[in-house]
Amino acid sequence: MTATDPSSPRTSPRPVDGEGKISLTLRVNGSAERVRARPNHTLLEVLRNELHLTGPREGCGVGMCGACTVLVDGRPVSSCLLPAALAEDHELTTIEGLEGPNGELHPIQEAYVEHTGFQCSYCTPGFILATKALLEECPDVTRDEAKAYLAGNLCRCGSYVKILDSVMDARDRVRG
Amino acid sequence: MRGSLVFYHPTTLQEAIGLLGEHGEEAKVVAGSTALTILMRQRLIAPSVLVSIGAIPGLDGIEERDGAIRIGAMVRHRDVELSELVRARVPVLAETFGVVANVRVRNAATVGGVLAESDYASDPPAVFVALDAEIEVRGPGGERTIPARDFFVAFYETALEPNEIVTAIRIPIPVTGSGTAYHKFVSRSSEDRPCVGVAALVHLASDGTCADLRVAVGAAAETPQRFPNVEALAVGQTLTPELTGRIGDAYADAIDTLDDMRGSAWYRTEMVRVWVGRAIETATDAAADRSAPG
Amino acid sequence: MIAEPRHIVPPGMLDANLRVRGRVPYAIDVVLPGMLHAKLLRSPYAHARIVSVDATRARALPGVHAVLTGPDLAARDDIFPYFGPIFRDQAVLAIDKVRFVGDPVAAVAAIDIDVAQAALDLINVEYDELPAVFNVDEALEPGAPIVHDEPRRLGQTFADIIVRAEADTNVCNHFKLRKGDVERGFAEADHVFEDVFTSPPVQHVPMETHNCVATIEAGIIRVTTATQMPFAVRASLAEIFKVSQAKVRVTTPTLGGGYGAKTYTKVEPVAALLAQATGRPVKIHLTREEEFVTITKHGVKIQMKTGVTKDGRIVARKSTCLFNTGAYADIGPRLIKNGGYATGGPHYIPNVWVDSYAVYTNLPPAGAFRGYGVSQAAWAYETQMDMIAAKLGWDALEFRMKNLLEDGQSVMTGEDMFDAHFKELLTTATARIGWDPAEEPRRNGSKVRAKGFACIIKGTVTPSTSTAAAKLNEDGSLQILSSAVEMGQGAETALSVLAAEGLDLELGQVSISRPDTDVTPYDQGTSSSRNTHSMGTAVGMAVADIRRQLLALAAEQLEVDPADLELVAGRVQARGAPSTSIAYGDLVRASRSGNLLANSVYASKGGLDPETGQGIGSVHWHQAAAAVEVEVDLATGKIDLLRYHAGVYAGRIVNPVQAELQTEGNIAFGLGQALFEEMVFDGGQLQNGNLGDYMIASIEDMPQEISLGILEHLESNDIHGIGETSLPPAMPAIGNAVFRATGVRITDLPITPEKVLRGLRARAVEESAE
Repeated sequence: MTATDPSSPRTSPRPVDGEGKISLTLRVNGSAERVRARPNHTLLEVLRNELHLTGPREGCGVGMCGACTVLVDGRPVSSCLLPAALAEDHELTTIEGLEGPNGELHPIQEAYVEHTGFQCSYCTPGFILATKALLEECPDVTRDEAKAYLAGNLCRCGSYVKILDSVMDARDRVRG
Repeated sequence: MRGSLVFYHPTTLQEAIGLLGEHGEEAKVVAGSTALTILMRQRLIAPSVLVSIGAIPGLDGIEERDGAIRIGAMVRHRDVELSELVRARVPVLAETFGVVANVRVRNAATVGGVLAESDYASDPPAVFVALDAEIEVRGPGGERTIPARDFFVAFYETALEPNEIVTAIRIPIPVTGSGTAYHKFVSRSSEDRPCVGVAALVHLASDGTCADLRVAVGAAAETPQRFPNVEALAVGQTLTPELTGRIGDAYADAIDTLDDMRGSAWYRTEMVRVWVGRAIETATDAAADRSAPG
Repeated sequence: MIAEPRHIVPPGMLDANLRVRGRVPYAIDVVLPGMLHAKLLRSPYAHARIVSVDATRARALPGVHAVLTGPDLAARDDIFPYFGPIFRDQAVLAIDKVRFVGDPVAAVAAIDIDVAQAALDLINVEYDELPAVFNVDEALEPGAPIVHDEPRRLGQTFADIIVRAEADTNVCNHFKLRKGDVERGFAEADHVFEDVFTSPPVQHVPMETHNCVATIEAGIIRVTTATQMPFAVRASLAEIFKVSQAKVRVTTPTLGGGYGAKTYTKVEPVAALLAQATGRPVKIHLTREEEFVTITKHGVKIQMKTGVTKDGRIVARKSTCLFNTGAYADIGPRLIKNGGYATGGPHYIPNVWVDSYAVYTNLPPAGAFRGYGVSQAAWAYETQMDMIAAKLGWDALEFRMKNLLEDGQSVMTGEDMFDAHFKELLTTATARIGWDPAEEPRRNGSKVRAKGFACIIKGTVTPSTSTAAAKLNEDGSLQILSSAVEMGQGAETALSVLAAEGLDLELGQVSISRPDTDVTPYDQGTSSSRNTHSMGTAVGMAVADIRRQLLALAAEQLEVDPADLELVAGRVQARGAPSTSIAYGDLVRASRSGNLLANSVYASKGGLDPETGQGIGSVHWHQAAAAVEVEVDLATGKIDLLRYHAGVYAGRIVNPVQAELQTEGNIAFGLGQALFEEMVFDGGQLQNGNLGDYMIASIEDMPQEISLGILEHLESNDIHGIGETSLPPAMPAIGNAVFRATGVRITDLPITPEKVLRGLRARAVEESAE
């Protein structure tokens, strides 16, 4: 992840304010957001605490569960592992970025509603974002391929059968 | 405090190396930051300086050069997995990077990172060792190249000198007639790290005998394990089930296996025995396919 | 006569749109002005006396608003710093002693998590380490270190719990069941089998960890918390703060999973005490690592002796169950009852003897976990059933069929079975995987395939109470006030269906409240697969009351006898004369009451005799079966699940999609516990307390083919809970299939590849010796 901001420090430390925080500009869901964060703060912490985007959620803190999935330039990433300082100059998409301006559902979201691909739904934004990246990469994905791709998103309620049904239906909806 | 950390974004390797020299033990290089964030969260390390190498040009390419695939340190696992060049020239490398962790981690974790971390339960190191890869590093004293088999020294310990940075890895393209395989064996969930991971390369001569065998076992000991004296048993021989079995036994005998939640030392030894044999068989089949006429 | 209400088939979940947009609010999303963040300092020792706690430096750190320690709390007269549903044995922060690695010792509230974390590093605790016990056998030995050497502080009595704690030992509670004459039964038996089965502690791993936000304003303690039991939390906070329950307000948004972890009080007291100390809202949100040591499933050792006659009838069973309840009792003293009597299984056994113990150790506290002791019991009896059949050369299915309970036969707690469907469930399950007793394991290279099955019985907490209120508004819409917790199981949708059906309304005309102890009526808790049955019944009763009011009002307005009226689509109309009708809203307005109100109480009856464990164990009995085909790699011991059928008796299915989801969820939960889930401790230190080291089932771990048999019998007019029911058979079904494939019998969960391979090697040695 590159940082091309001309003010970004090369051989001097990135400047911190009185609270030990740095200034960042993040491009989230199409708009540029200026935020302050401690240098070690993860993207997840900044999205939730500074930008009040509650779709990404901490589940494990070690990149295993996928509840904090965010798309970085269209690719799913665990926002719990990514320092916010490394997320600048990338297009970030959270679940909040998928819906239309009046809350209209994305076809993938419609598919998850249709099949009830969730129970407690804590993990659902992560699954939906992973599905979006999967379908962009692989529009004709098979059920087995989808399984392999989504195996890193964990659903403790075990809604996996209906999640896969949702993904297959989403494929057909997106393909049109 | 967890927050008392400073970030640097150097744009040249010299700057980065200079920063490491300046801050010594306090500084860590950050690339994909997957392992680093976990280690910091678990308070196993507490650097006060992070030197991001993401803005340094020239660390992010995959290219073919002088009979080898050269992969820059900042290249993400997922890019190795999906690279047409890698898939065509060293398919086992793409396959191996494709089984690391999950797609999110692969989108972030870098090739330099998996090298510098030297985590015994990572998948790629065994393949690097089996394929005789060479690691390019840059430090205050300039550039040098370290063979993969010498690079991994112990748990989380590499041959990197202080203030040295991994810049790339070169993986020689296996000669025509070679087949390769990497078997990742997980003993718990599909999402587990390997209990053992075995990389094998088999080069078949035109008469079908083995011209070259290389086998490296990962996740079974502190570092990838390779035994040229055992590999030599295969040279000039037909790789019969009996012979691959003997090689598996020899690896099982030679490795001082470790004990963790994925298996006891006894079980790992047994899995080395099984999976060395299976990896050689898969590589042999691949070699036979590749050398088959037409 | 009133016509039978039509059955509404709902969409999967009413608030699905919010959920897929990531906008359904959880407790973790609550942000209040001036809110502080709390962190806990935890014990590094399994058992130690606290010599001193010095928080001076932490208190001086800029940004820190309060630091609380155990000694601070113990010194106060205005609070009672202990909690626990049965014994008040858990201090909010450790007082005098720490009892497990991870026991909270001090708490910090600071402007953010980083400052709070930094403050923890500045607290000095001096410990005097004590000898510790980790397993039940050690803990019961004479002279063992005593985890709780203080007098037991018993709280309010639960109607269904007998407390039989043994002072000066590590026995936290003892449950006894004596049915028939077990010794005579063994004397009548032609064969007696005695085996030991163990299950390890595992963790619930709700994706949302425990968290809450507490404030104290104008003397009202207010907590928004991720709990399955808002009223238990309220009672606990009132006791701790020595205030009336009316001064405590607990609200609960939707949960990110519970599975039993979020029953009873957990993080709420410390947050409330910090809120009191700072005058600010305080949030606590446990990390995944902390969640692992907050509550666990009980590790258990069960010794089971079973006598059978030569014609295949079980005549006696004697079980000794040692449940490792960890450092604090939590609900262990009750769970051992359910887990204990469950060892009687779904079979008619005339003579049963059970001694079930909750044993204190220096491990993290164990409590309610999906299955509530029944998984551990079923692992024992359904494995042993298979072992007996194998040893005697019987067909395992036929042996089950001879003994499965039928209506009118007495269950282990003595009452007569009714609405029994075990045989139907097991017949279907085995048929769906093509069970054939003559079929040999099928070998292909190093892989071998075989089948197995299991059938279980589970009670639901009895007696228990749910209450509800209904308000019919002047526009004809219906509001249900209920304290049912929505945790992904679809409580809101199921209750909406039941309410809407009662008045023949559309789902969109009904709303279900979220729990708010200031507003919504009492409920015992959303647990034990009881919500749709208990709260559903309470809601049905309240709606029936509204219905009577509507009919009375309409009779007056329409001048028609109430018996000749019916409710159709939001109107009361004369039967056979739809033109004579009136809308609900018009009736509400005519009543001049603003809204029609109704309250209801559903309280089930039952309970067991303290000496014999006989009585009414469960208001009805939950029933399930599972059948599975596995493939085992004989070279590695690795097990793949090829086919899985889950059968469960539902009575009436209220929401088909949710019924399927919960049943599929039980497969995921069950296969994890069957194959790899296990909390591994070394000297009391958890070795795998994060999701990198502790595995839960992924989508790729699921069986390749799944079929469900959710059995509905509408004539029984009863709703059976299915949240947990299909979980317990998973583990023994898989174990039984592995045995058939390999000849290796695993009696200690999980069935790891390593255990299978060791078993295969041991068999090879035996065979070569023969």
